[in-house]
Amino acid sequence: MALVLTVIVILSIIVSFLIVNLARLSGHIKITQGTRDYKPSLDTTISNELNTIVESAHNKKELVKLMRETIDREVKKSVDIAAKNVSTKYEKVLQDKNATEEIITRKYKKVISEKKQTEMIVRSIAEGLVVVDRDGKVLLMNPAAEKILNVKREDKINKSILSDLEEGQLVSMMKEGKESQERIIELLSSKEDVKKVIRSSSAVIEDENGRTVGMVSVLTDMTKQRELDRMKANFINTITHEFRTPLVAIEKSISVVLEGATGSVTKQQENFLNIANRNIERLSHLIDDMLELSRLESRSARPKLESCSIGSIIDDVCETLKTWADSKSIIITKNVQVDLPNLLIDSFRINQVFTNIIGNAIKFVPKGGNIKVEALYMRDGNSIVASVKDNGPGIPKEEQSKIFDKFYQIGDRVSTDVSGSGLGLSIAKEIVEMHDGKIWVESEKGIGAKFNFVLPIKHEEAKNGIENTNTVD
Amino acid sequence: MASKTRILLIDDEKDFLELMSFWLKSKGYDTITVTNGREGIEIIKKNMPDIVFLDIFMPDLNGVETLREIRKFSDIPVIMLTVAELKNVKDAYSMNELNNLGVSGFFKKRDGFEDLIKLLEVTIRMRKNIKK
Repeated sequence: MALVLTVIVILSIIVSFLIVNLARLSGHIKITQGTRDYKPSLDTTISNELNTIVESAHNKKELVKLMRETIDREVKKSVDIAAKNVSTKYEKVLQDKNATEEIITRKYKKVISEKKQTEMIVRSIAEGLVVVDRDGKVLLMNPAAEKILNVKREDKINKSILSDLEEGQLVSMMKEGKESQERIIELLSSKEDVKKVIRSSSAVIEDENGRTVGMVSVLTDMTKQRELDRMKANFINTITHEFRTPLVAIEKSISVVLEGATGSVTKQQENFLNIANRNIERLSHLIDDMLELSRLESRSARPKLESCSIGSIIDDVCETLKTWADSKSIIITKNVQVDLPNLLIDSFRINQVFTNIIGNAIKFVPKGGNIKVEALYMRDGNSIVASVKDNGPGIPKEEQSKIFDKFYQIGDRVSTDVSGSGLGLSIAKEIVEMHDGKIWVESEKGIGAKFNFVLPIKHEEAKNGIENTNTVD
Repeated sequence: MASKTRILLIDDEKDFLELMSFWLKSKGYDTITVTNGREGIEIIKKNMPDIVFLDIFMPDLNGVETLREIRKFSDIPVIMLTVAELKNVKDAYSMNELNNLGVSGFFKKRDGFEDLIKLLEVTIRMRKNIKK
């Protein structure tokens, strides 16, 4: 009930409010506002309406003006921002450009200074440097090369290296050959009487497609070195003679006495004379080995190359050592591949290599041991590998690298029955290397040792490249 | 032996010369010893020995030079003596020249004197055969 009453009251209030408002709009009700009397009439209404229109027109103008201003302001703002952006970017680009330029300049300077440095290095190295193009025309030549070849750079640049050089001095240097190679050139200048010995190491210069574009040669004046080698060789030869002569005299004196040519010799005298003889022999061997080694090291001895069969060298050596091996009941077996070609080697010296290695094996292998000598083709077919395998005490790992050193004796074994100069393997190594070969050992302590050496198969032409220096002692 | 073989020994090493001479005499040979090539040449000219033992390495006139001189007037058999290994001798002198000079043989001083006597006997026998 109360709710109904309330609704009615509210509704009546709303209705009465609406009626009052309608009456006012139609002018039937006079409403007093504040102190002023408001008397609406047609005139005022029109005037009011007009005013509103005018006012709104005025307002529109204002609005347009305002809008324009706003737009202008906004546009200006955008333009400003864009302009600022552009200018920042421009500045950045400019900066980058400057930086790049700076880098380029710096790099350029660096390249120039490096070029200068390289030139300086090229100029100042003691070795002569000559770069020639495919046709043998000189592109670069440093002062050392000028001095060595006794020519002027200005006369040579862009000209064939062979023009106005005596007797095709450098012909050999220019002969084709892809790999880097070393040659010895003997040069007899018209200006000097001295024969110059020049070593030239040349390498072909190739472009990225592998085409030959020229050649670079490093020249070393070997004249003095050669002279020293010669002096050393002479010295060694003199020493050899001086050492051997007295030894021979002692040896022969003892032999003459032992022979009974001076009267009968007692058993005891004979015993001591034999001791003297044995030790002279030992001393002779030591001296021989030392001299041979220094001769090999001074490179005054060059291999006397001749074509010979490695099999027959092995046969000779085994034959020579047979008595010694037999005395220890050591069996030597040989396995030489049948179709091995003859090798261009210094047969006497290769004989020495086998003698030293097999001799060592006989020395170290206990009585009744085995030694196996082999010579086979290497897998590449360009070289021969020879090996001497024994079932002796072997060589400990840590000593394997040292056994080719001079005077090295395994385990400081000096005063046992195993005596030797300690130079046999050094000599073998020198000889093998003199033939452009390689020597090494494989061994396990207690099982045995296997000495291997590889000799490249050389052809007749190689012989011409090697000169012979004659020595006498 | 009808008459003793006369051997001329040329070597600058006096001790070796004495030893060799003593040994050869003990084996029944006759020896003449000189210590240089020039004297040796004079001996051959004056008093023809049967064979010459000539040391290669000598001061002044060495063995090969001496032999060249000898060959100008005599074809006497000559055995060259050397303290060196033979390969070194052959390295130093061309084998061709040594052959052309008519070397009968080489003797390494370190080898036993017995070898020298063998070489000597072979040489003399060959010479006799040629002369026959």
